[in-house]
Amino acid sequence: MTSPTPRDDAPLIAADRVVGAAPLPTEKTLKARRNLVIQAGRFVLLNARIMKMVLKGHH
Amino acid sequence: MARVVVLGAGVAGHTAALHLRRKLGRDHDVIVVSPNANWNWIPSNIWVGVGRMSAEQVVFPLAPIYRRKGIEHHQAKAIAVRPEGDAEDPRGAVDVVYTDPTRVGEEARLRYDYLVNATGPRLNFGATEGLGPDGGHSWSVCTAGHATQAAAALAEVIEVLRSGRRQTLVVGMGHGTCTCEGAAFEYVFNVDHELRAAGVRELAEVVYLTNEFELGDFGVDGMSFEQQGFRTSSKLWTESLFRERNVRAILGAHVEKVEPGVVHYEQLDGTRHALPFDFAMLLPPFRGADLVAYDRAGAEVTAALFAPSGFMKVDANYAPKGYDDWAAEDWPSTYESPAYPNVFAVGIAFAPPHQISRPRKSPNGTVVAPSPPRTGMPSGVMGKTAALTIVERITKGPQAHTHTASMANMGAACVASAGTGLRTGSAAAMTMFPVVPDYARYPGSGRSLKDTIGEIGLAGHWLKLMLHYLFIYKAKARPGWQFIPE
Repeated sequence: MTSPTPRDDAPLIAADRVVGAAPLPTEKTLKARRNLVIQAGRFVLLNARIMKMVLKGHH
Repeated sequence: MARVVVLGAGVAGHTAALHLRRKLGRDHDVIVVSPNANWNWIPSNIWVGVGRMSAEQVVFPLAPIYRRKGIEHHQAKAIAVRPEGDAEDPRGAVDVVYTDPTRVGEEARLRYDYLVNATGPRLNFGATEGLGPDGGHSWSVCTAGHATQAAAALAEVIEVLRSGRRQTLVVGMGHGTCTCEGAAFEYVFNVDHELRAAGVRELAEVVYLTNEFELGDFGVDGMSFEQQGFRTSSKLWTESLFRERNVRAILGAHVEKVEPGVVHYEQLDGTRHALPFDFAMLLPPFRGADLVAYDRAGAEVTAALFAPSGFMKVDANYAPKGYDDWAAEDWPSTYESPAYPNVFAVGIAFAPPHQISRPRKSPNGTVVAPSPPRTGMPSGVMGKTAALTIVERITKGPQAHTHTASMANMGAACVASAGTGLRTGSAAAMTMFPVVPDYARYPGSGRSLKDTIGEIGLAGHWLKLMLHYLFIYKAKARPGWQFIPE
C-alpha cells in the first residue's frame, strides 16, 4: 500500500521534458517492428553482425 | 600433474572450467569451488521476474555436468587465498567453507598450481538501508529465487490494478554506483509489457529510477549509431522507447534509503526526494567476494591482490588519473595478477581500472557513477582467455604464449528484452565494438560505427530467446558446446 509520504514529482517532470522531446515512432515503424517477414530478415542480419563481431574482436 | 582451481561457476568460471577440462589431459585436475549447487542463466531472470519463466527454466544442477566432464566440484565458499602456500606446502592454496548440505560449515584448504578467481559479485544490498528482499523493502531479480519472489509481488500488484486502484511501480538501481543498468531497463519494459497484457496499464505509473546521467548510458557512456544517414545516440533511441511506452524516468539518482512503500534518493544537483511506491525492484551495487589473502608466514597481504572494492587487481593500469586521462590500453588483457602470475581474475571478479561512464558527484559529495559492466559475453571471453593461457603454460612451460582479450578490443552484444511472446515480444538489440571506448582508434564516438548498432523489434526477442537456449546448451556441455562462441 502506498505510504502517506507526499510525492515529490520535480525529478519526474524534469525527465518528462527530456523524454517528451524524443522522436515517437510512427505506426508504420511499429508495424515493421512486429512484421514477421521483416523481422525474420532482421534476425538473420543481427546474428550475422554478432558473429562478425565475435570473429573480429575476441583475440 | 597440475591442479587448476576455479573459484566460481558463473559465466566466466564455468566457461574457464569447461575449456580447461577440454584442453588438459586427465592427468591434470580441474577443480571448481562454487557456493551454489546450480548454474543460473542470469539474463533470463527478468522473465522469471515477471512470471513468464519458472526458476527451473533458468537453472540446472552443476554436479552432474562436472561428474560427466571429470571436473572436481566442491560446493563451498572460498574465504581466503594463500598464493605462497603455507608452512606445510609452498603451492598456492585456497581456504574454503562448505555450503554443500552434507558437509555444511566444514573447512578445507585446497592446493593449486593455477587459480582462476571468477567469484562474481557479492550483492551488496547492505550498501543502501532497506534495500533488497531479505529484510528490506524492495525486490530483486539478481538470482532466480529473488526473481520468483518479484514475480509473485508483481502478480499481487496486477490484481490490485484489476480492482481499479492505481499503483506506482518503481524499477531501477538501488545505489549511485550500481552496474547492470541493462537488466533494470529490461525489467521495467517487461513489467510494462505484462501490465499491458493484463489490460491494466492505464492505471499503473511505471518509473525507471537510475544512476545514469541520461537514458541510454547503460554504464558504458552511451553509444553512437549510424541510422538512415544520420549519426544518432543511444540516448535519443532509448528516450524514444520511454516515450512510446510511457515509462517515466528519474535520472542521476543515488538511492539513500528504502522504507516500506517509499524510496528516498538524492539527485546529482544535491536535492533529496521521496517517491512512494506499491512495487519496487531495485538492483544492488556489487562488491568483490571479499577474499582475504595471506603470505606463507600467515601475514595478511590482501592489499597486494585486491582493490578496496574487494575485486582482484590484474594487469590493468591502476594509477590514479582523471577520467579524461584514461586510455583504452589501461584496461587489462591477460587478467593475470601482477603479484602472482599463476593467479587470474575474470568476469566481475577483476578490478576495473576506471569507470567507462563518466563518474559524477553531487554538491554533497555523493558519488553517482555507474560501474563498468563486465558480465555476459565479455565474461565468457575472459574465462576462456585465462583458461587457454593456463593450458599453454601447463603444457608448454611458463614462457608459453599468453592469450589476451581486452575489453578495449572486444565487442559485446546486449539484447535487452522489452517484452516476451513469439509474436508480441520485442527487444532492444545492441552491439558495440569495443566495450571500452578507444578514442585514439575511433575519434569522436570511441567505437566503430560499423559494429555499434541498436535496433528494436521482434527479431531482438527471438535473438534473446535463442541465446537463452543456446547458452544453457553450452553450459550443459552438450555435444559441440565448444563451437558456440562465448
